[in-house]
Amino acid sequence: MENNPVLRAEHLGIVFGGLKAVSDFDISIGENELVGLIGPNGAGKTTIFNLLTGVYQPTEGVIYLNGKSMAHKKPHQMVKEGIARTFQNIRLFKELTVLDNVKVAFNQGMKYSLLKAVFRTPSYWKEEAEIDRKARELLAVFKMEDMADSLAENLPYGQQRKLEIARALATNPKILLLDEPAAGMNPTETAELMETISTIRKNFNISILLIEHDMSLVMSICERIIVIDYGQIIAKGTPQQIAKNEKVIGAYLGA
Amino acid sequence: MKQTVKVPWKAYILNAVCAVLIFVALSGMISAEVIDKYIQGIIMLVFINIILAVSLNLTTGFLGQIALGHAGFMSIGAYSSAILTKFIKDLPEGSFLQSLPPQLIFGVALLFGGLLAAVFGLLVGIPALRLKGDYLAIITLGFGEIIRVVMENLEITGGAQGLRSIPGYSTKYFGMCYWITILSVVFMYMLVRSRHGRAIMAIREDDIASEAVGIPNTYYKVAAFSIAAFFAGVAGGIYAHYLRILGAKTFNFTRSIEIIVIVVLGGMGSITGSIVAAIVLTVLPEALRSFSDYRMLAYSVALIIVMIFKPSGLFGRYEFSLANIIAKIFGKKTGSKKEAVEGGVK
Ligand SMILES: Nc1ncnc2c1ncn2[C@@H]1O[C@H](COP(=O)(O)OP(=O)(O)OP(=O)(O)O)[C@@H](O)[C@H]1O
Ligand SMILES: [Mg+2]
Repeated sequence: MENNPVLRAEHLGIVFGGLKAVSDFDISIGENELVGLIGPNGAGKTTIFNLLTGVYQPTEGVIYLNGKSMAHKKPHQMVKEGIARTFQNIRLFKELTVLDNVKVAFNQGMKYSLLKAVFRTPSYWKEEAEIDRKARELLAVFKMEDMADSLAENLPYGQQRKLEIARALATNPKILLLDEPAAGMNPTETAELMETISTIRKNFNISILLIEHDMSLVMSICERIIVIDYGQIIAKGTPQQIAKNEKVIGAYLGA
Repeated sequence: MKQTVKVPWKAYILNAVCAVLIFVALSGMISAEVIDKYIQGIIMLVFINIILAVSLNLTTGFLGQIALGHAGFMSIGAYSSAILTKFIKDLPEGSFLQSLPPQLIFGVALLFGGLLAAVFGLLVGIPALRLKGDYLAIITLGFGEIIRVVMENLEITGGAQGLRSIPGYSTKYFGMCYWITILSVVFMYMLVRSRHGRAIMAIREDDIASEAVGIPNTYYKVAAFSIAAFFAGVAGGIYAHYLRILGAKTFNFTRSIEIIVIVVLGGMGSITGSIVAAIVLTVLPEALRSFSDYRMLAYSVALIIVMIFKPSGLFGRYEFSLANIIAKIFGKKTGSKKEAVEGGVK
């Protein structure tokens, strides 16, 4: 347990039509930690992300962000408290430009009102210029500044995954949840992605919770790993401990 | 959809000059009687349809929510503004309100009609916008019809007899209606190209992702819905003071369908597309009047052809830009490319 967990959840659970998709899930992530969340298909990993980000309201348990209870908060309100995510099935704003995808995510930090926008007051121009610069800088971190004006849907797959991470970072999170960011990537792209994840963790000083099926990726970059099966935690520990855990081996071999 | 970070003075001035030129040409032709009352009436309908289509495009094209109750909001604006101007007209001779300039009375009445429509937009939008797609379409259609039926049966709206002898301010203050139309378009354009517009389009693209990056979906949906209702109300007000009689069937749901046809044909998510389609679909049926029997047939065929060959509408999401066209004609780099270069250096 950390002194100052960025994200903490206790006894989290949700039931879908009688099925306990997740139950008794505890988690605590400290500042700048990188934690892995693994488990077989259908174990409930994405459901946990949906709970932690407010997409689903838990039927049991509470979530705290920086010590604040997130009960009954909507996703956009939780974003304000510093949680951001990507999706397993990429969810970009397909017919908006790459630049606008990122700019949308800056919205919460912008202030000019509707009327100021309509009258194009100096504050409109000032904030828009600033957001334009910030968005391009962020794209540059992902070496995507040249694609700023293409439509998101026209990007190659790997770039779309990166854009989703860039967009999540634009909300200025304290913790970032990545749902299978390497899915569908080739080994080169995966290696590059691992680099990027380490870099953003350092440069943006954020914590990361990572769902990933690629074991070598998880084992190599995570400090701690949580393993779930049938919606319940079956093991927690360092990559070395997890690699030796009987239950984990059993779950993955289908025993 | 590109954000410019520098004030595009050239484009602003160019568009302003054009708006003034069109105004001067129209007023000139009206006073020289080149444009008779009949044509002036058609132009008035063009103005009304532009406001209606551009505002409906905000909900349907930019927000991506199919709403079919626009005529309902239009009727609220029409009746409420007409009741207000009629009330003032019928006051005893020489009372204070009557001594005010009629343009002011007309303007305030339109604003009143718009605001009342916006309030109803809010009331309808909060529950209705929980639904999506077909459900939203059906429920807004229902709300539109309810509003209309209520309007037609209240005593204050003249009941089944309708509201008569409404002052003919629209025709009288033709120029004012023109500028209101221009302002409505400018308002929408500026709104759409701002952080608020980006948020609205993000909801259209993926409402789960928009929430996940901090966009308050419900707030923006309801806001867009009532802004659209506001402008529908204003258009309704102009319509009432043009027709001078409001009665049953003036705002039935075929009216809502007509507006949505304009939006779809022009391109969902293109303001300039809505303008062009509003002009074409208002003028075309009139121009085809001499073929009276085949008129609606030709109209429908034209629609079907466009939908087959260009399902995204005439303009898709493209916006016509005068500044870009002129730059192209004179062989300069187009505006959008230039912006991209300027932005890229930063
Ligand atoms: N909205 C929902 N309604 C009903 N059941 C759901 C819902 N969301 C998830 N489930 C069920 O919950 C279980 C966990 O699903 P989840 O998507 O969280 O698994 P996962 O661990 O992310 O799997 P994968 O590795 O395949 O992505 C599954 O049985 C799924 O069918
Ligand atoms: Mg999953």
